[in-house]
Amino acid sequence: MAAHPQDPTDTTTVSWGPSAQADLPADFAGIYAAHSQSIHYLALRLTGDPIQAQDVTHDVFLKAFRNFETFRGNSALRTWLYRITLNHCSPLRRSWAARKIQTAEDDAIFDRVDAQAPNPLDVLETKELGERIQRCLDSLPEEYRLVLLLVADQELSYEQVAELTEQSPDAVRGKLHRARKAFTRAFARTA
Amino acid sequence: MEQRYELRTGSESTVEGESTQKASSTAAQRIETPEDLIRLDRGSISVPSEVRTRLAAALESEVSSDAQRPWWRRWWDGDTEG
Repeated sequence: MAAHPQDPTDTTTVSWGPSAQADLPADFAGIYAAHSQSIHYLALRLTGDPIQAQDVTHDVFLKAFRNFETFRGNSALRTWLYRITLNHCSPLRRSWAARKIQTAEDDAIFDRVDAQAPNPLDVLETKELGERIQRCLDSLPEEYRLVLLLVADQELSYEQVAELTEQSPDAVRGKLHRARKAFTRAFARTA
Repeated sequence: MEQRYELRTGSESTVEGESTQKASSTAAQRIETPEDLIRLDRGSISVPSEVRTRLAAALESEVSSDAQRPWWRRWWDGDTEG
């Protein structure tokens, strides 16, 4: 039996076993504590549905538990969990895309809308933040939305975001620039 | 031009004796990029406890069913222990 790691992100020697209480296995509890909020948040903002986000979070960690032997440590655990999340959300994202007409090629619209409007972003009530961000993200092309959500995780490098989104780091940087611009325009319209 | 997002947190009262700089940073949090907003949003959303409860139940079931497999099945599946 492998030794229990002290660092929940160091999972190369993780082993599981039932804990004394009816709770997560001890080592897995550390992994869950370290990563569940990020996984849940990504799922929430990708699906826009709190119930689906809970289901995705549950399923992602269950899948991670079952398939942990396939995690070779070549990538960070966070990246691996995000990969599972994106794969799991893929059908949901496809259905989301079918409902949307906005594409990356249409992003010139963000340059045309409200370009001269006064800045409505100055004061923002915290309670409105989630709703506004969700509306804003929903209005963006999916690739922009994904890049913003992943880059916002400071544990991920551009290289890891590139790996997750299957493009080059330079492409991520370029897309991020356009995504920020599009987000800012869309955010202004949600005021 | 860099877009700035300003978030007033609602906790704008200051404690006597705190420095002006600290009071100022409490009064209004500067958000420089959309990622800052997203991070702020993420920090305010916690995972519902039901998810952990459901997951614990599912994993307990997985672990116990795994332990009940016959030795030859565990060997066939590639387990090296137990």
